[in-house]
Amino acid sequence: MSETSVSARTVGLLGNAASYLFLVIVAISAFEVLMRYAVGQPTVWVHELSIALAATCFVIGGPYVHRSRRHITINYLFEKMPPQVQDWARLLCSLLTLVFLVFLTYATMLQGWQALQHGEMTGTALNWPIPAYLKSLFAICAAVMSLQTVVHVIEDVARVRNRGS
Amino acid sequence: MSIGWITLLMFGSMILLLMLGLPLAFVTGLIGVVFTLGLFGVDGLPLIASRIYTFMNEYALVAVPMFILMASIMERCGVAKDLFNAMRVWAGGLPGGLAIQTMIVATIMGAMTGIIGGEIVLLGLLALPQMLRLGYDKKLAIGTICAGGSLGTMIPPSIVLIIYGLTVNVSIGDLFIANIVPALLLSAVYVSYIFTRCQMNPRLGPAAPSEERNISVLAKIAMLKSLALPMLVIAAVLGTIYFGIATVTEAAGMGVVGTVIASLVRRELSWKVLGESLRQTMQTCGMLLWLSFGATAMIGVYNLAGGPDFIRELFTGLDLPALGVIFVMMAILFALGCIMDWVGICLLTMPIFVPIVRELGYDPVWFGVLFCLNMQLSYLTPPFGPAAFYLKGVAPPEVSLNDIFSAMWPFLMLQASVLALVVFFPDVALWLPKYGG
Repeated sequence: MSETSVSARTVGLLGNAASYLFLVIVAISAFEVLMRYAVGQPTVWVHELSIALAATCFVIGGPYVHRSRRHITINYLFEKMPPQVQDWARLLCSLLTLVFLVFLTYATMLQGWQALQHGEMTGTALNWPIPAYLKSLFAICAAVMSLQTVVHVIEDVARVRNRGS
Repeated sequence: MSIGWITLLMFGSMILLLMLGLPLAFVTGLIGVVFTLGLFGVDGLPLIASRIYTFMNEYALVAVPMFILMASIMERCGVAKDLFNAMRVWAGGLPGGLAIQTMIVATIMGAMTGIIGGEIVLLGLLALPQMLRLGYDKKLAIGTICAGGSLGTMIPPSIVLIIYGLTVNVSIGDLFIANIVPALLLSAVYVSYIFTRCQMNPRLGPAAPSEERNISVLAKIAMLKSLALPMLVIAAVLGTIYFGIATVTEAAGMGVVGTVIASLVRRELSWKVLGESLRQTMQTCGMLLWLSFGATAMIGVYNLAGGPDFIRELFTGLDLPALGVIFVMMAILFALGCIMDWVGICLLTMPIFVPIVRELGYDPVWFGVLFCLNMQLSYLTPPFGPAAFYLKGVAPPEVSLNDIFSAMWPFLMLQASVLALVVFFPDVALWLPKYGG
C-alpha cells in the first residue's frame, strides 16, 4: 500500500496518536514508584493499567507497521530474483499473508465476541473489563490488517500486469 | 502424521517461506494456523488467539517499549556525538587509538540504547568517517563498528534478555546481571585485539596528527562533563534493578523519566524529538511484537503436537555428554541465526531447549547468556547479518557489503572464543548474580 493512500494515512495517524500512550505508561510507573517509596502507599491499578496500555500499542503496532509493509523480512534471496519473478513472489507473499490474517481474524473475533458477551473482567482487585476491551481491539486490528493485505494484493496484481504489458 | 514428519514439514516450509520473502511474523503465523487446521481442525484456532493474548499480557513486556523509547530519545539527542568526541581526544598517539575509543564508546552506548540498528548507524556516521580519514585499515574500522555496535543487545538493559526471560520464565534482573561480565569481557577482548594488531602493524590504525591531539587535560575533562547526566541515568536504571528497588519495568519507566530530564537540561528535547521517538517506539514494537505473536502461534501448535518430547528424545538419542548437548544446541542456534531474527529464534527454540537444559542440571540464566552471545554471532554472519545491512545503509559508497562481511571474521572468532569460555566456565556469567545481588 502506498504510504499516502487514505487507509494508510488513517492507520498512521491512529498509530501516532496511540504512541503517546507510552508516555502515559511512563507517567503512571513514576507515580507508582513515588507512591511506594515517598508515600508508602503502592497503588493497585498501575500494574494492570500499564499492561493494558502497552498491549494496546502492541496490537495497533501490527497494522501500523503493515501499512508500509515494513514487517521484518529476510529478503536475501528475494533481492537476487529477476524483477519479474519478484513481482510474482510479492503477490504470492501477499496472498499467503492474507490466508494467515483471515484465519487470525476469525480466531480473534471468536475470542473477542465471547469476551464481550460475558463482559470479561480482569477478576482482580480492580476488576476492570480489560480483557473484553483488549480482545476486541485485537480482533479489530487483525481485521484491519486483512483489509490492508487485500489492498496489497490488488497493488501486486497491478504490478504483475503492468510488467506484462 | 508422525511428529518427525511434522517437525520436518514445519521447518522446511519455514525456510522456504522465509526465502520467498514473506515477513517473518507471517511465516510463523501462517505455519501455526495451517498446522492447527490440519491437526486439530477449525476448533483449534481460538487456541492461537488465546495464546497470543496471554503473551501480550506479560508485565515484563511493558519494559520493552520503555527501553526502546529511552534509546530513541538518547539517539536523537547529541549524547552519542558528545560521548564520541569526548573520548576521541583521549586516544593520543596510540596506534589504533581511535578504534579502541570507538569500542569503548560502543560499550557505554550499549548500556544506553540496546537497539542494535540504532547504535551501528550512529557509530557508522560518527566513527567510520573519522577512522577512514586517518587512513585506518578499512576492515579493522568496519569490524570495530559492527562488533561494537552489536554489543548493545548483550549489555543490559537488553531486549533480547527480556524476551528470553519471559519465554523461559527466569528472573530478568538475574539475566541482566549475569550478562554484565561476559559483555564487558567481549568488549575487552575486542579492544585487546585492536591494540595487538595495531602494535604489530601501526599502519592499520594511524594516530591523529599531533595538531589535533594538542588539547590540554583540563579541556579534555571539561568535555566529559556533558556526559555526566546520561551516564547517571544508566547507572540509576541498572542500580535500581541490581539492588531490587523496583521491577525491571518500573526501572525502565524511570529510565525514560531520567532521559527526558537529562535531555531537557541539555536543551535538546522538543515535542518534535519526543514525537519522533514515540513513533519509532511504536514501529519497533509493532515489528517485534507481531513477530512474537507469529512465533507464539507456531510453537503453540508444535507443543500440542508433542514436539518438545520428540526433540528431547532426539537429543537423548544422540548419546552425548551434557556439554555435548549444549554444543549441539549452540550449533543449531548459530545455524538459525544465519537465516532468522533473534526474536523468532528465541520464541521458537527456547521453550524446547531450556527444559532440556534444566534437566541436564544447568542454570537457565547461564544458558540465557550463551543465547545472547550466540546472537552476537548471528548479527555478523552472512547472509542475514543485520549489523552489515545497518552499516551499509550509512557507510560511504566505496564500502561494499562484501567488505563488511569479510571484515567480520576476526571478530566472529573472538565472539566464538568468549562463547566457549562461558560454556566451560559458567561462573564467568554466574558469579555476579550469585554473590552480588
